[in-house]
Amino acid sequence: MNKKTHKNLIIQVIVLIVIGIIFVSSVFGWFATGHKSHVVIFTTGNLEVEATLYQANDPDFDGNFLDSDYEVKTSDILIENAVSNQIHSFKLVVKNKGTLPGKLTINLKDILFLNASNNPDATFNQAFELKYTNLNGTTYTHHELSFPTSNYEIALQNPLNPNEEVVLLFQIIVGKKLTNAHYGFKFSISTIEVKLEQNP
Amino acid sequence: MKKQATILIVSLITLLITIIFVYALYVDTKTTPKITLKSGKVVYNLEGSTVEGEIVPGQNLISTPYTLTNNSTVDSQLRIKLIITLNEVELSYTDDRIDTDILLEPTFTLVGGYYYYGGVDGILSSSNTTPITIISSLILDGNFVKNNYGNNNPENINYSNKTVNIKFIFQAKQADRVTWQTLGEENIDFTIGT
Repeated sequence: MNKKTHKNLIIQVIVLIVIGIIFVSSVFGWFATGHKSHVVIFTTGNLEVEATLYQANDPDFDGNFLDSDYEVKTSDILIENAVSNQIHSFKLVVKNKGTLPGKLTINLKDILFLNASNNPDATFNQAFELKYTNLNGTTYTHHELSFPTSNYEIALQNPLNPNEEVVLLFQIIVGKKLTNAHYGFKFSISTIEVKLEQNP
Repeated sequence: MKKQATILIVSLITLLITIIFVYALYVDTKTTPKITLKSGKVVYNLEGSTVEGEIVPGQNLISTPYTLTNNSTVDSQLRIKLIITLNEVELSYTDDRIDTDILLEPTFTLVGGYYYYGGVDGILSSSNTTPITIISSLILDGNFVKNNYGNNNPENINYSNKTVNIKFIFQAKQADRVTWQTLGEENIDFTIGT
């Protein structure tokens, strides 16, 4: 290889390197520009449900009272000395406080009927009735003549949109089948579960 | 091998935590306070006794006054009916043949054969457990109920070996929205001696 050829080879390598640098810079610039001009931000949504239970202050338990008679309940509710034909009225207000719509289910959980010895009684549920409305309804269109046992889905709505609020009214009616023989028996709903799930 | 097993376990735990975390992100659950109902009762206890054996006019047939005690856990209503029969004929409380001190009035009001506590709509509070004396004296009047054996007057009745019967009917109910139910009956038979 003569001196001239060697010189040309060096020039060609330098040019190649410069072209490479220019190319890499332009591609990086494109990415950098693209990043700046096409900001893609993923903000995670959230599901948050708020549930508030009210009990009607209805001293004669006849089911007649004003909406203003509902009182918020934050601790356990114990109704003693229940007798036939009493109507105990409740209101459950549920609100989607999250940013996503969700599937709402409301369940009465762990419904127990116990005798005076705290053992389950298979027929005591027949002494109680359950009435409830559709969500946001004002009339008790659903009526279970024997109170459900175990768990019971009382309401479902899909979707419940962000900031949407729904109201469920329900009544526990003490039936005529409650007698002196049931003294010391008790009936409890361990909790009302309000669940909001993301739609698939 | 041991190293692979450790990696597998750690991976599974990580996966589980991830699933729980993701699930928590997409489900929110709230619960309300517990609701409990306990049943009440309407109960009255009757105490009292009568004399035993054959009886004679002028004798008080009530040895221990009959009293009724409210042991209910709820407010209730109470009504009582007394049926006194002599020789199978029902007597009014004012019949000349008996001398009684039915102590129900004025606390009770007589309507349609029943004595109502506090009137037809009267309510007996569950906290009122003072015994209510119903009757402490029932005496057959010897001027009318007599052993007239040998007396040929057909208007007189020979009461020897006849039966005097007192029947108490107690009915009570919770204060509202139910009908009367008989709590119990007390049936006492006496036989008049000669």
